[in-house]
Formats: sequence, C-alpha cells, structure tokens
Amino acid sequence: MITPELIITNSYLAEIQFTQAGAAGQRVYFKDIPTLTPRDGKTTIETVGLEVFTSDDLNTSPNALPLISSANLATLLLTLTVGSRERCYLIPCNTLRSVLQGGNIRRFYNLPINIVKSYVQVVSPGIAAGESVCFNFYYRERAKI
Amino acid sequence: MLNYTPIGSLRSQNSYTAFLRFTQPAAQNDRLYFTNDSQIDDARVVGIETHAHINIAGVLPYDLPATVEIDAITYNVITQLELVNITLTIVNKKRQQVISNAPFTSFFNYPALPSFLFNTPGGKTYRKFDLDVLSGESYITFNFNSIVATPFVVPITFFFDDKK
Repeated sequence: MITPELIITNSYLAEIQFTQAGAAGQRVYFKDIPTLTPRDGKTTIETVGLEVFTSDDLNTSPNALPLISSANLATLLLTLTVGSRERCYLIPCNTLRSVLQGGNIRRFYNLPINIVKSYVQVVSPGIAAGESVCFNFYYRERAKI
Repeated sequence: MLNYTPIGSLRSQNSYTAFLRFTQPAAQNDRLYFTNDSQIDDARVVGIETHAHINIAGVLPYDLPATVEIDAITYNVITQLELVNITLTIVNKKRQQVISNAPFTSFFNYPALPSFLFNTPGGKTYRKFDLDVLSGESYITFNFNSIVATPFVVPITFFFDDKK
C-alpha cells in the first residue's frame, strides 16, 4: 500500500550514457544494474520514487561523465518497463526533476522495473556525445513469496 | 550542534551535524569517510540535510558562514556552488549500500534561496528516511575537482527518531 509520504530506505543513482549525440527518435537503454535486478531468486526490487538530475544539480555522473543541461532534459522521454510491458510510457523527464516540482519526488506504486528494457527516447537534438543523464531510483526490497 | 525544533512532518527533535573535514584538495572520485560516530550509529536516521555557505549577493541570512573554527583550526565551508560536486553513499549495519551516490543538492533545503538564483532539488521539502547508518563505512564522493581552498568542511545534518 502506498504511504502518504515517501520514506527513503534505499536509493541508487543510475545513469544513461549518450555515446553519440542525441538524435530525434533515438532510444538509449539503461545498462544492467545488479543492485536493481537481484539474482538471488529471493528478492524483488520495487521502485517507489524517481528523481532525475541535470548539470545544475550534479556536475558529473558516477562514471565521471558530464551531465546534460537542464534545457536538454526537455528533449528526453522516459519509458519504464515491467517484465516486457512498457508500463510507464514516454514520461517527459522534466516532470521527474524535483526542482521543477516544488521539491517533490515523483512516486510510483511498487513498480518492479525491468531496468535493461527501460529507456529514454530523444525527441529533438541537443544532447552531445559523451554526456549522461542521472536517475535516482528510490526503491524497496521485498522478499519473493 | 545546531538546535532544531520539529520541522514540518519530519518530527525529529534530535539532530547531529557532522563537519567532515578535508585538509587536502579533493580530486575527482576522492572519497571522504565519516569517522566512527556512536551518535549516528546508535540512532535511527529519519532525515538528512546538507549545508553550505551561501555566497550570493543580497541573499541573507546565509546558511553557514564562509569559515568555521574547529579544534583551533579555521576551515572553509563549501559553497552552494560546490554542492553539485558531491554525492552521498550510506552503508547500513548489514554493510549494504542502501543509499548509493545520492546527489548532495537533493538534501539542500535552504529556504531563502529563490529557485532563479540556485536550483535546490529538495526545494522546501525535507527528504524523509528510515535508515540504520554505519558511520565508519559511509562516505561522500567528490565527482569534480573544484572544491574550495583547503582545509575545508562539508557539513551534513542527520535527524534522528525520538526513540534514541
């Protein structure tokens, strides 16, 4: 059941790297993140919140890449996939940036995201090759029944 | 230690501000570990707030002054511009990285800063947590080597639950 406010118990800063300049229609997928996809057969990771960061919020990514500018965040749409179904399809990334939402973190209802099938889609050029966009996944660990 | 009263729905009456001290210039990917601290380890962390020296003309009062003196040494306080260079990783008592590389700006709540002067992802809301922290294995990471002149401090406040 969703709680009235987000109590953070776990978070992981994931990034999507643009190895080439963003072009309209291009999809860039998350790489595999073991923390968010446990393979012990006993645990499920459920995303309860998501926050995106640009160069105004964070200078470089954990992999030492510069972040995209706040202006270019508007060129990205995010799709979150559960299993093989695109459950949250083409979310404008600006809605996930807390500074634009009065500090609030967008909530999700215990979403067991398939991270390697989730992606951002570019809708117009602007992002340069070698830049990165960072998403902070707020999640819960739940034992599989 | 700063004297906090309950803030909104955070409902913490215990807080503890750690001043992480750095005596050398921070290079990219440098980690600065918290010192072992029973005040943090013996409590349940329900809130985290980062601090900085605000050096924007006309914005008063500033969060912290430009320097603080600790044990007779004067340290520079990081500025709001340097918050973007730092991430926080918290390890719990099971030695799991429960918070991994969370951007420092997300926990910066300085209310006097209008958003057109500085982006504060935390806005005026306080991030709420439920964590058991192992201080000696938790750390901050500098992801860009542009930190102010040494020695400097990185202040971070932990709010504890009332059952401490």
